[in-house]
Amino acid sequence: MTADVTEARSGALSLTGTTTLPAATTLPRVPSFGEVVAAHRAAGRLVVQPRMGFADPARMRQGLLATRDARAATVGTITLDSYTRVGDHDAVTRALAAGADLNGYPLVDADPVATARMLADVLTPAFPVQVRHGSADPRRIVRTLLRQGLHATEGGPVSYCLPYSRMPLVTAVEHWRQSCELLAAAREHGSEPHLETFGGCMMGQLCPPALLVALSVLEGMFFRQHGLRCISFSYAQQTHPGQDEEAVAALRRLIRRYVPDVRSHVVIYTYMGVYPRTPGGARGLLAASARLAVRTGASRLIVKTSAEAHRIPTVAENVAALEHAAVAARHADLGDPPMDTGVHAQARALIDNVLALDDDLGRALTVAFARGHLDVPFCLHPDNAGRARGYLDHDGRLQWQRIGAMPLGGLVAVPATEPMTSAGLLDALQHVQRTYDAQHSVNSTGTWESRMTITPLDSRISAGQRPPGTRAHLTSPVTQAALRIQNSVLAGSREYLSTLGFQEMMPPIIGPVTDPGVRGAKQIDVDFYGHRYKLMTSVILYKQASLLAFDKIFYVAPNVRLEPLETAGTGRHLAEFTQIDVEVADASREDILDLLQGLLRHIVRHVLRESKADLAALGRDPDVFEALLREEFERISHPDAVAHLRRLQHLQSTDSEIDWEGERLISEQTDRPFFIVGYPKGSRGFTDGESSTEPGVLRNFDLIAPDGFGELCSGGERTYEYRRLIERMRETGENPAKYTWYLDLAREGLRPSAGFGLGLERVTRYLAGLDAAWQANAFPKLPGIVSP
Amino acid sequence: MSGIRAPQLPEAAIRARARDATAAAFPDLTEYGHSLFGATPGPPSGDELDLARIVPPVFMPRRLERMFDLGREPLPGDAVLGCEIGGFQAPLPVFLCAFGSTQVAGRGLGVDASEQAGRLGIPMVIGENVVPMHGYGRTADDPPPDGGLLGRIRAYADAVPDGLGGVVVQQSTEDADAEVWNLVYSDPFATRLLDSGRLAFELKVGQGAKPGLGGMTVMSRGAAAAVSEQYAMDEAFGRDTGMVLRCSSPGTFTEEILRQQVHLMRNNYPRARVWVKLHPGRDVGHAAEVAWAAGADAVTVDGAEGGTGWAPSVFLEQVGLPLAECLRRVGKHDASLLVSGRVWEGSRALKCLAMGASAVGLGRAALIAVDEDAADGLVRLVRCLELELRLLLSALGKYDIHEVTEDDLWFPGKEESR
Repeated sequence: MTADVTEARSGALSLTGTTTLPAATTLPRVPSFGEVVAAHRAAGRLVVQPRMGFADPARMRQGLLATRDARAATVGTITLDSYTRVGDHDAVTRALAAGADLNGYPLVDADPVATARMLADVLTPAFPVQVRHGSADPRRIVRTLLRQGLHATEGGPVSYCLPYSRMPLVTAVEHWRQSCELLAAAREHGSEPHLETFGGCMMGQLCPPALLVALSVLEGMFFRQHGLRCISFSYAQQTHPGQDEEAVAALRRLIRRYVPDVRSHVVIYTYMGVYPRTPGGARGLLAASARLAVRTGASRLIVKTSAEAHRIPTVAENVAALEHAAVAARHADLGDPPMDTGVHAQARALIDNVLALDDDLGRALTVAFARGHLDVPFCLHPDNAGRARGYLDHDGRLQWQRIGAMPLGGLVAVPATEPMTSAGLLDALQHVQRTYDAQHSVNSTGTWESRMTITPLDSRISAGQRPPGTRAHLTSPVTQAALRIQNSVLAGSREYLSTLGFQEMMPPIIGPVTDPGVRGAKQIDVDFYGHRYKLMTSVILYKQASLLAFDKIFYVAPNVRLEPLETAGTGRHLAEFTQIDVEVADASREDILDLLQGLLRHIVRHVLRESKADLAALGRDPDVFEALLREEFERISHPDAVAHLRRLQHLQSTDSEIDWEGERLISEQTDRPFFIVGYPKGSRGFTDGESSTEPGVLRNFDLIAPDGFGELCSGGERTYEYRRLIERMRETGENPAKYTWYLDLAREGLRPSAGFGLGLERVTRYLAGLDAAWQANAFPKLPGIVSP
Repeated sequence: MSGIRAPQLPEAAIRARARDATAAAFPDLTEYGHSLFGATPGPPSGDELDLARIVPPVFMPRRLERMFDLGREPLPGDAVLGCEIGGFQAPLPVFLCAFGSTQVAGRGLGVDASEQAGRLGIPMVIGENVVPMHGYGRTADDPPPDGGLLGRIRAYADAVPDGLGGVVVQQSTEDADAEVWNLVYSDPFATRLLDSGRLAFELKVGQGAKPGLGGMTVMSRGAAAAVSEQYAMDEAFGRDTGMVLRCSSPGTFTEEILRQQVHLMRNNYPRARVWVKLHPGRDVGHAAEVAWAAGADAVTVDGAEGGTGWAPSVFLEQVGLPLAECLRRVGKHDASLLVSGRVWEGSRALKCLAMGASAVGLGRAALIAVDEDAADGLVRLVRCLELELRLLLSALGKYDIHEVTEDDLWFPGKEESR
């Protein structure tokens, strides 16, 4: 270390009045990060590195020492916390003052002396430490790390902007230009600074490898343009070992071509998507990534631990992962050279295209994204075109489903039909997790875990149809987009109904009785001071009663129905769900159909306006709602619907509800929602009013969404006269004795009314184009599947 | 043996069959070679079905037909007894009747009977108020002493051969509170029955022993307090006794109510069969027609001879149509007509079948058989009945149980039709 740097550090430290310094001043020139890795490679050792970051300096130090002492060739990692990543230094300061825990080391705001002590004796010539951060503006981070005698970090103008930040790309490019120059300038004071591209890890998942390779190379070229001479190029393990090997081979070829004059190596990241949940599965995936590194001549591996799927791993878990990866690397065979399926050609086409746009690589990258010449699938950043899509083919390889404006025309065979639906997407996201967990299935010792799975259902619902774990579900971009759209649905509904003078009421949750008119679903009993009460299956009885207070009311009401297990796979049934429950006094069915049509149109307009980006991210084309907004919803009678289904060779019974399969079939035949009116008595509960002119026909309806989305809503005119209620109760097998409070009201007079219950998750599913209603629920409960 | 009794049935003979199986269909084997046998002298006693005789013809064209098939003289073993019972396949036209919640049925006999019925592959009905009275048995920390509904279903399902039998779960008006059907239909355990088409729900309109009344059980005051929200209690035995009478309402039915309830069952439980149980009312023929027309897979008629755990004596002696008259009023029908009432051996079974029934139910006899031998009593009783059916059928010169008709019977005092 030279005197200048020592001075710089002394200067920083003197602010605190401290004069004792780490012994680094006495060290000879420190080898660069790249040189250390190269030395290990020359000795046939794969360098393994954790993703480790702790807020507490003592613990961070312990982690670094444990990494250094692990039985493996290692380099150290300091991962910074999320506040530092986004530049919210006030929040870091507050958290530090409050003694709150951070999810990484707050390098910039930490007491420099504490950091210096943390690093004292940790850094050795053979054990460099890299700072990992994820920031689109790493200038302060770079300044701080240099002051602390560190000289290796990672990231990139694209890879740390698009996925993680809302910062405009052009701004991030400028920040990264300055950061590169800061870093490069440190060369004059000591060892060669090192920068690693994160471009080969974009988004973590479902990005076809050619784009990852191209971004990794382009970011490396950007680093080089701004002065760096020691660069590593990343590639994250994806879904198919053969394809990964091909991609890394392409990456190395392209590095030789475009960045031949710097010290470089390739770093592999263990899979960054939904991680296996079983310890065996996690270890298997880690070993596969080590194998990938060895086979492709990569020099370094960033590992994940088996705890990754559940929480931030401990030091011991990190060390175990490092040692496991090292062992796997030692035992990896070289295998056959990978097949060329065109990854190299695609990546090269992408790179050449960018290079042709502008001599300044920063400007070229900005223009390329603006024009969609680079387009990262499933990336919601405003500067990303979002027209490209990836999918998983039968073999588990990542392929292009759509290439948008990327110059891949002659190089990619895009499938004629869109193979990726949102269930397909989820399925794809879980592909690796499932594959490795299945290979390493373990006997669960936790009884809760083993009870989670109900055998007959497992075979009935494919993995893609069932929710992933809570964390994976909540952190999935699909869930987040769906929930934002749902928010829009609710806001739109409230806006529309309140404009029409509706009173919103808070829903009751329990009562002595609830809606019995639910096909084959069991109610949940609750003990109410020794009396059997029910959780609401719907608030219908309370809606009727509420009209004693107001003419027009609605509830946003939760319902719980233990539906038959066969409904778990319909994509439409949840055991716990929410309805927008509307009731209007003195209304006819026809009034209600008009109201519902108006409401749904309003919701659709609202969502199209407010949730544009989310719809686009989910691949939902706004044009599908054109007919809904333009044309009246058709009203067909139940007998006509039955006749129609029979023409479609579906054996629908004339005196029953349209069955689930029938509903799907009929729903596939149309381009806009429609009503089926007048169900036969015997298909619905007693609250559905019978026609006074057509005995046996109910004055009710269902609203069916097009394209197979099926029923969204049921409603109709209600039974409200006391004698008719008693008769209808008996016809539906009910014991009137249970309904005392309700019958007492009816005896003195309930108001005639009509209304409906619109399924919130179902509407969201339809608007968002989801495969299943559970995707529109943060904590979905599918019939028979035990879940939080 | 728990010491249950059934004084209105030949209990000793039933117990003998439960012990000795088909051997009990014959006189005592030790008498063979020493005694000569004939009919018991004196006027026969019993109801009209008991008095009727089974009358084989001399000329047997159907036996000839069967001989063409076989290329040899047909034997009793060649008789085909397999049949459909309310949507289920059964090896012989016999099913296990519902035992309600009475103490007699609650002593663990329910589970043993279920296991044996399963082994036999015959359909089994589970009584209406088992769930409200004995629980369901889903939660492991609260298993009912007799296994509950789930214990019975499980015992049956574990024993039943593939493709045979089925479980029928009753619900009456007042059980609607317990949502027995919803509970079963949404239970993971029922999946295997539903998937193989072997679950039915039976709407209980009434029962033979007390037509027009609901279920009755005698309960201790403590047990009564626990279910007092669901059932009315009557101090029939006096306030100074420890027991009270639990009375169910039978539920109100009109033609339209029955029709709509059947529709609703078909609508709500599309994968389950629908059975309807009628009491021996004077309009039983009309009621059965309404049920079938509404889509019931089976109508069960319980004759006034039917058994019960408890009923007022006046109903046992004086109320309801006898089984033979019920059969006559319903007539032969394409849909399943299932009957019960004092059936325990082959002749009464065959007479019911000849008069139009599709199958007969074993009630009290099954309980006694299981009481006699918890492991095999019911199996032996049914094996015995099966042997008698084969012998009788082949004696009639018929080799398929569906071929028996009223011509095969003779009723004393009635004009011979030919």
